[in-house]
Amino acid sequence: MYKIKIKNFNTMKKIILLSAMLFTAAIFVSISATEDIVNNTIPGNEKYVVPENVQAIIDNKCFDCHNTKSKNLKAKMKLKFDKMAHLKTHKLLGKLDNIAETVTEGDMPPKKAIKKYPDLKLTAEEVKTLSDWSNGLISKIAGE
Amino acid sequence: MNKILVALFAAFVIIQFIPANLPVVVKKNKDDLIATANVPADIAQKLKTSCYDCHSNETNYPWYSYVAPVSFLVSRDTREGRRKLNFSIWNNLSKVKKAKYLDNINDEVTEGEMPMEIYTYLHSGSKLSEKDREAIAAWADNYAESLFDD
Ligand code: HEC
Ligand code: HEC
Repeated sequence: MYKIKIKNFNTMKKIILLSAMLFTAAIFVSISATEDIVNNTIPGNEKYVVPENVQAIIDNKCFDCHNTKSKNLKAKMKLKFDKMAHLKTHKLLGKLDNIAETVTEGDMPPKKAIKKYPDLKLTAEEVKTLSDWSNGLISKIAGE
Repeated sequence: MNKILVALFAAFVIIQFIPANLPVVVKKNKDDLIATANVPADIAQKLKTSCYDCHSNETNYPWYSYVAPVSFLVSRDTREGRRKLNFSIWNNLSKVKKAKYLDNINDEVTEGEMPMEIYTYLHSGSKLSEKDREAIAAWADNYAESLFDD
């Protein structure tokens, strides 16, 4: 048997402090681990990844019509960007493919809206960023 | 008055010579949705009566769809309809495309946008009840979900 010799009171204090810190750290680690598990029960959640440059385009050119609180009922019915992360895989894939299609064909934002607010028009680069993002995400999720 | 009627009639006769180019009808399609996927009989029947004229190659043209100017409208709707969604080529589509079309079908029937209203006036039995809409939407959602393991 070993006998830990504690030379003085100071060392003792350090050991107690250190174990307290380790204990606290362990609690944090275990909490964040359970949080991960909880999140995973919302299907699709961790699959919906939006890089900053894509988010910026969505915020500037799509979000105002396509969100849960939008007054544009038709737009809201078809697509809500603030709900994407909570869709099941098949719904998420359907919406992503619709996004890729509509921006590539120049159907979104609607021509009428662009007439009124020319700034809404997507630049060629933005079209590519959005369609590359949605197609990339589709291949990652569906393997197609 | 008489002159106006004569002019109208003459115009009617003349436009009959403008070709409407109704999209070609193909009755047997080996990749058809109903022929290849396991669609419940009641849903299949609803899709056939309410959607297939515009969204498949199996279009049934009633006699008046050969008469201009109705022929122009039918031609455009059938062409556009097939371009947006064609059940005759279903089995050729990737799982993701199927999921997209099923999602669109869900949206369109839930909102009551399809079948096009004008069509329901001319085709008795094509109008969908609230229950029909819910049944088609539920079918589309279940079918799409079954394509992917969540
Ligand atoms: C001015 C409002 C407005 C803006 C801005 C807007 N949309 Fe839309 N969007 C609509 C409306 C309205 C519809 C429904 C159209 C319909 O039902 O015919 C729609 C439909 C859609 C659909 C569904 C299409 C389909 O065929 O099912 C997609 C996908 C979409 N929008 C993506 C986008 C994207 C991506 C952006 C940004 C680049 C965007 N929208 C910007 C109003 C808007
Ligand atoms: C009279 C012809 C006609 C009938 C009948 C019809 N559609 Fe359509 N459908 C169209 C046309 C034209 C379009 C394209 C224009 C548009 O989106 O309004 C279309 C578009 C669609 C789209 C694509 C929408 C989008 O946003 O991309 C879907 C999905 C659809 N129809 C489903 C149906 C379903 C389901 C039925 C039967 C319950 C049906 N349609 C019956 C003519 C028809």
